[in-house]
Amino acid sequence: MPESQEWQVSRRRFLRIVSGGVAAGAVSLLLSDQIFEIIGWAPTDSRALAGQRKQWVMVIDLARCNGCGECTKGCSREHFVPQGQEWIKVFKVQNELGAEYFLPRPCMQCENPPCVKVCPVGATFRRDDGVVLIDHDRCIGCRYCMAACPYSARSFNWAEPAHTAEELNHTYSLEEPWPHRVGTVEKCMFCAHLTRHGKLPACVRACTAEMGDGAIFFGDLREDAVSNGVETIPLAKTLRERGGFRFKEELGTLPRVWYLPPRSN
Amino acid sequence: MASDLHADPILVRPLQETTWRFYVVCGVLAVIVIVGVAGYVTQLQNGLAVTGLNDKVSWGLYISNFVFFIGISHAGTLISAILRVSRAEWRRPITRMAESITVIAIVIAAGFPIIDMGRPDRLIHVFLYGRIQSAILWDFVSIFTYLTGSIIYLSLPMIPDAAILRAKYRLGRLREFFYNFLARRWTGNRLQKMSLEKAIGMMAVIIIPVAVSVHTVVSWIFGMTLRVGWHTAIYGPYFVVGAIFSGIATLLIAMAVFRKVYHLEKYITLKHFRNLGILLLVLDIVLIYFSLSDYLTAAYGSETQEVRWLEALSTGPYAFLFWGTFIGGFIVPAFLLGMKRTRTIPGIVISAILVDIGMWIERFLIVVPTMAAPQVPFDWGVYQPTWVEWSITAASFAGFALLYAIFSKIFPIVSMWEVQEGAEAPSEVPAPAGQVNA
Amino acid sequence: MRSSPATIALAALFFLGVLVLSNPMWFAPSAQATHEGDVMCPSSTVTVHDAFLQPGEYRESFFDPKTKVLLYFACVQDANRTIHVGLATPWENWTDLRFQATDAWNGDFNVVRVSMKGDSAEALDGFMRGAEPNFVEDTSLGGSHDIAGPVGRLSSDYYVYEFAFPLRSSDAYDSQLTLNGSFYFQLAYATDRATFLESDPHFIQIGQAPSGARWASLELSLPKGSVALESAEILVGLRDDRSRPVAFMPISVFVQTTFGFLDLGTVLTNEDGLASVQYAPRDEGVYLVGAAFDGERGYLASAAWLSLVLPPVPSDPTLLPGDLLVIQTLIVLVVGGVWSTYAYSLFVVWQGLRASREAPSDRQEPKEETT
Repeated sequence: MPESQEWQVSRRRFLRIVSGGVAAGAVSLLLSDQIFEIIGWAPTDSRALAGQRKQWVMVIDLARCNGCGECTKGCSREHFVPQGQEWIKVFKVQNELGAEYFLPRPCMQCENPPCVKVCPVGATFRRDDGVVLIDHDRCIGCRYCMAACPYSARSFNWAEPAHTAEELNHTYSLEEPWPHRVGTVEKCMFCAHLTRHGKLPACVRACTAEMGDGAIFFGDLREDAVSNGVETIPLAKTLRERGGFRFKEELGTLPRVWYLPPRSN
Repeated sequence: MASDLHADPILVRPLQETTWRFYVVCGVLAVIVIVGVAGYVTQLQNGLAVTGLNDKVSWGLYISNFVFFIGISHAGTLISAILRVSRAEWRRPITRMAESITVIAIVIAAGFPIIDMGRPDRLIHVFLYGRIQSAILWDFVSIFTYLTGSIIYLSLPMIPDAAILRAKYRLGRLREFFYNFLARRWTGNRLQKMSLEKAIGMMAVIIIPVAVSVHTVVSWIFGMTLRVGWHTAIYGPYFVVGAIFSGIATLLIAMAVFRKVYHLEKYITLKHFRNLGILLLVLDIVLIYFSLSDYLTAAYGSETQEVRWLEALSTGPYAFLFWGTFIGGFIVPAFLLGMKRTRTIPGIVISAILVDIGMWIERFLIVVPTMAAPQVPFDWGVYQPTWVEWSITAASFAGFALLYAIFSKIFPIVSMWEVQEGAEAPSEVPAPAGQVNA
Repeated sequence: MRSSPATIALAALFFLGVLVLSNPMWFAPSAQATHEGDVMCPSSTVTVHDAFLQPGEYRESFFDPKTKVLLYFACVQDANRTIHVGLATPWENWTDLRFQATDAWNGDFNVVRVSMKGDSAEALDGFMRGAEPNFVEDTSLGGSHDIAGPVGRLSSDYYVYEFAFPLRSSDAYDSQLTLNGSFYFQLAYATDRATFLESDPHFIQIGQAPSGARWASLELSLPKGSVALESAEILVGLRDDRSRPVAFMPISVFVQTTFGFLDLGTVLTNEDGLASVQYAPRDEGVYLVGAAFDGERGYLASAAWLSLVLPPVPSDPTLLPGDLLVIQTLIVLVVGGVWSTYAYSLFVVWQGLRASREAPSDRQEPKEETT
């Protein structure tokens, strides 16, 4: 039975309008860069600007680490880290032939971070100096980043954290994220609030304070030098000579934390 | 004309009469839902610390429920859309049952990510700041698209039924409201019927890829991470097949319940059970094949972390659940469905129940053991769900059943006009055999 | 041997010199002072306060490895035992010279604090007690400002100061040097940042300069016609006061980094007084490279600084990677297509429902008007 031509025509019109709309949307998306340029809007994330040209990197000498855990304590003091969380965690590694060493694991501040990839709201992002930060105003607590991190470096505020008066007095900022909030994710951030002023991170200082010549070194990749507060060593040369490696290198996350093998020489 | 269609009194009776048994069942379900709501309120007040989740196993029952309910939502698509496109006439009495499972299951499923969120007050951020690179956003878009499509696909075939009911019966204001909304302008002439058929046909075709994409995208939430057990290419097909599998099982259970309670033996026959049972068997075999493929590949390659994960599943803390699912949820149903002697309605329904239980545990085993397996040396996680999580889980099932029951009281659970259309054409649907007492 | 008092005096001097020289303490920075005799300033140097460190102006030198400050000393034989100091420092804020004429470093010391105020130098005379940074000016303690003729200049990459102060001042708070002219000194500096670094305490004896005290001048440069980022080579040259090369001397080279000085190595100059080290920073910026010669074999110490300027490297602007944009477009097309189908289905049904207003019979002829 033939449908009325009037119907067919109006249907065709409808289809044209709708498909035209979809095509326009797709084309404008393809040309979005050029369009942004024309209207003068730069869709860069202003949170991701560090304000100084640095590329932070950390080197941990496993030959020196004795598992004392002062790095964790120093970090927890500095950031009022909630109970039960360890932003830098020291693991004990043993292999079947009896070799034993300690592995401090901060956030790797990956150059290709799986956590940033999967965040549905962009609450975690990588700053242009290499530090991966969390915007606690935006985090919705879905914990996808925690599932995605291969180093289990993130922690979650499952309950309202216990606060000290000093912590509550402080104003929240991206680099100094306290008072901590329930329902959001936390992690190490290379002490961005200290390094901005030329001070070494809390874990580096705590290690050197404990051991005199600490196992954790920190520096600027651009300058090719890292320091533990007592000595400054050349980065590329040390990694080359001591056989520096990164944890789970094969995953392609490109961590900014290097390890020197646990072998005393 | 609308009066050309007649309504079989059997199908209309559930809308006219409600026994005390219905109220008792709904009451019990409502109580379970309320307990679940209380659990959620506790969680809102005290944070997710009231669950058994921790930094190592940060996803648990909520996410596995989410995957499960999205899975069973594939019932509607398979039966209605694929069977319609392939012109399988026997589908007609069960299409509405299937389509309504889809809609209700998606609605329930969509609640779980929100329940799982640490900051549900910030849900608007997903709209304001959503990142298209995240699998959760793909999930959101595809589930929303699927829900909309399913509602349309459920509503369109209801229009002629609503017209009949509106014209011939007085069924109360709530039902009148729905029937008017759907069918006020429906006269049943040929043009309208053609338009409707055309629209339903288009929806049937488009909803199949949408449904496939939905569960594929859900699988990619896990598959796109770098975790052992998750980061495997088979997850897309595995999830889709598993979804259709659990969806058919749920549909079989629903068929058995409605057939019994609303006396629909005339419409839902052994043939329907057998056909769906065979589909269930085929999918079972495919799923066993996928599972073997996944586990054997991991075991043979014996990468350190994969071996740890496999050991946790096969001999470790999850061994009971794992083997229980594999044997009870995959192998036993395969036998029950495969052997002619047990391919009876009771046998098929028992298989379906085993399958659904098995698939729910399977979803749990997808989420939790991978998160418990250590990523950094020897750092095993432990997960012990609490009453909050169990009560919310129970509430989701009770809510599903409750919504379904209420739906069956608003609309006839068998699509009257579709059955009649099938009867007018040469088919195997038996002629109306007279009244059967309630 | 006709003038016997002169002979005795000379012999006594000679004997004294042998005793002191053979004392191992001489080479130990934390040694105790020997207290014999009076301050002797035999040198007749001509020190001109013009903020240029010239050969012949000074007789002693010291380079501090911790603070990277280079010091020159010269003593004038006058009633106050005026000592002239030449100071080369890379630090922008102030630099302290703290000194003390006691047996052991006891933490109370006189301080000369120099800094640049605009184009001219400012030198503060003060006193500090203990390890706290509690610098107090002598003038507020009832003393006087004893520093003579402070001048300062910003050389291209570092500051040069010259000043003089009496080792025997009339201030009650200034420690008096009554003994053999040896004293302890310490260097400290402040920068724009909150960092503050002090050197270890050092010990020097004035007036017993080894013979010679020849001038040496260190120079840093880049190889001719090279681009800093690519060549990564830094040249070091050591010359004496007549621009002749000083060969086979160890030069330590270092570069300033965010958290400290990175030691680039210690190299020996060749016959032409030249040596080179490698340093390859990875990005644009200004890198302050320094070199120091500790003063051996009769040469005075010397230091040099060079700001290595690496120009910005033009990089491709990284927008959204092209393939991601294509994927996003595909998603928009697919999702848009699905929703269009929904809309179209609903439109079709709605058309049909709307048609119930007209005659329900079938239309055989097409209508005349078409849209």
